[in-house]
Amino acid sequence: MTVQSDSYLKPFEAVTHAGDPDWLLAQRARALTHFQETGFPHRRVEAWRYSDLSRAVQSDYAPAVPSTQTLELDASFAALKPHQLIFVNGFLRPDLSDISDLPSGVSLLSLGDAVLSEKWIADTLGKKAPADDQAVQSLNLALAQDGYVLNVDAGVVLGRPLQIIYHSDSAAAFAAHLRHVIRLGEGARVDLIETHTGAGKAKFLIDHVTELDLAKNAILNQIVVQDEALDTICLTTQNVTLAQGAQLERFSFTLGAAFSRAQNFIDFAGEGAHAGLYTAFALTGTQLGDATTVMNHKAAHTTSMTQSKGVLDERAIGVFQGKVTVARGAQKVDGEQMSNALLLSRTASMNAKPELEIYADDVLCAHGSTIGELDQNALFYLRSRGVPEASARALLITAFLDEVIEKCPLEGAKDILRQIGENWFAREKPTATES
Amino acid sequence: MLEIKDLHVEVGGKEILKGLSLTVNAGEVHAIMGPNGAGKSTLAYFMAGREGYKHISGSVTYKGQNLLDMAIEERASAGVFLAFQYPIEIPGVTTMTFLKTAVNAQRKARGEEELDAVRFLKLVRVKAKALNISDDMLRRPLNVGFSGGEKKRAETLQMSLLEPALAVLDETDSGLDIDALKIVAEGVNALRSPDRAMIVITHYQRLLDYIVPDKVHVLSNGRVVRSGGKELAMELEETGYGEISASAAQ
Repeated sequence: MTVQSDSYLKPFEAVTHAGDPDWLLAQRARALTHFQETGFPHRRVEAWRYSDLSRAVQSDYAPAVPSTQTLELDASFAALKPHQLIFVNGFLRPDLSDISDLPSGVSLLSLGDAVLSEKWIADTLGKKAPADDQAVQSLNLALAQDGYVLNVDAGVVLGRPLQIIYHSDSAAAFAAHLRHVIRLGEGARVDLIETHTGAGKAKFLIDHVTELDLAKNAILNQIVVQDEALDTICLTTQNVTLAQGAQLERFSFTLGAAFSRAQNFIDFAGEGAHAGLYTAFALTGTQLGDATTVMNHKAAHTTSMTQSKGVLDERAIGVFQGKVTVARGAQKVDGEQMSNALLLSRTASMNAKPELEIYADDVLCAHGSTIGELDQNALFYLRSRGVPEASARALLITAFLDEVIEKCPLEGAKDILRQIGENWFAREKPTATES
Repeated sequence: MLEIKDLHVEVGGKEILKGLSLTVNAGEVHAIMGPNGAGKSTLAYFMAGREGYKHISGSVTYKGQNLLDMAIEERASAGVFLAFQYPIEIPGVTTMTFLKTAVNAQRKARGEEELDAVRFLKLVRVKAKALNISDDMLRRPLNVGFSGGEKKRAETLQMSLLEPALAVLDETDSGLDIDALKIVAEGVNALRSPDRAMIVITHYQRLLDYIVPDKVHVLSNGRVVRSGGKELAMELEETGYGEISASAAQ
């Protein structure tokens, strides 16, 4: 038992989860015990060595409480006319959401409702956490107060994207743990946009765990924009199982939060499954952004691509951890990882750790990593044509990120993402402070 | 237009330009020739404002202003253009985006109205066609994967769009076959005008068959050692640089 985990858990004793079914209460109790034994991961835990969560979680957090305020919400993706599910301060706000037009064969419920009405949830909830990521996922399961469950029947294609907006705005510090489940039936297809935004100067800890099951030939295209308030700790974890021929394409843009980590644990369970995970970072001040991916190729003829491009200014820290494992007999696997970082200041840093663990002999796996500065020759060339230095820098940085924005699976979202990038340059940058 | 007086410049602690003087008037085309290591490219880069070139003494006056006091982009907006010997590849920035950014940055700096996309596109199409530059090339990232000829044509297109008052062409002929050389030379000749001066830097006389200079200067060991008319280029072609360099060393 650790002092830190005890003091973190103390305020959550008041949250009883009274409406939960017995099986879930039992799971929560087991998860709680597990977290109490392990505590928050710290730098001596290999998977967290560059992103010391234990050190980041230093202040007192109270459990999040449902809000009623009306809000100005992010409208960046309005042109795509998405169905919208809105969470504020960690709780679903049906009054702000608009999911009335979802086609038949699509069910979207709150976690609280789903655990009572959907029998299949018991077989998946909390069952997917990999052995070396139990601490954070146990904490999430023990404390999760809300979330959503999306179930799409076989063959159903969602015409318009579904956007989930998570917004935090509170004068008081809080911690919110959310649990989500996505299940796509055979051949189903969903475009999902997640926007994480925040306002105010209070400290928030926002922790999402999502369990995803994609049946045969199902396709999930995912876009994530993480632009949380600057004192936020933001953890997002996805446990994904891909059946035969299933495809996940995920693009995420990390701009916000003091400390953020996006974890993706992907199991390739059936032949022909594919996952492409693309991340762009634009960080400054003392921000830390971490993209950790484990591609677990259990089946033959599966393919994965992990690509990260980070722009780091001032004292920002970027972390890329990409692991590709290929199981015995999983022949003809193609797994590729690439991390490129652009350091805009001498005090920014990037940690890149690609790993390969291969137990089959007929596979194609490659990884690469570059860390560099802006090309001075290119900068001179642009300036010699009359482009002012600041614009020349912005043009080169945008071009650097554009290579990964191009991988965004929704064509109509690319220009929106470019605009988000440009807004980042125009934004008043937080100055580095001693932490 | 341009007056360089007794210019001394160091690169990496070594003096490369050792008292270079040169005067170029509006409407004139000057060729600067000379052996490798004479300081030809150093002069070009130094005038454009590249880092790593240390000004020791002497002056560079452009249109009555001290050019060396101006930032790189200010020199460009004031009308100084350097066509690079080795144009830089810029991945991720399409040639079209780059051209529009550069043209509008200069217009803005001069207090002129920026061109909208439609007007700009029209302008580029006309100028690109004259240089045999396809739409496909304009859509590709600037200079990335361009052949030697394509790069030099792209440089010439930039010059033609930016309409500089003083153009410095650094070894524009290097890496060009004769057909590409003709296209580039035609592009350059089309830009000759009474208000524009050009400095054509070249190692070989060949380029000067196509871009006929008003004056020819021989640069050796960091100084202009001989100046003359276009016939000087012919003479050099026959005698080589050896004799002139030897006399400069004395």
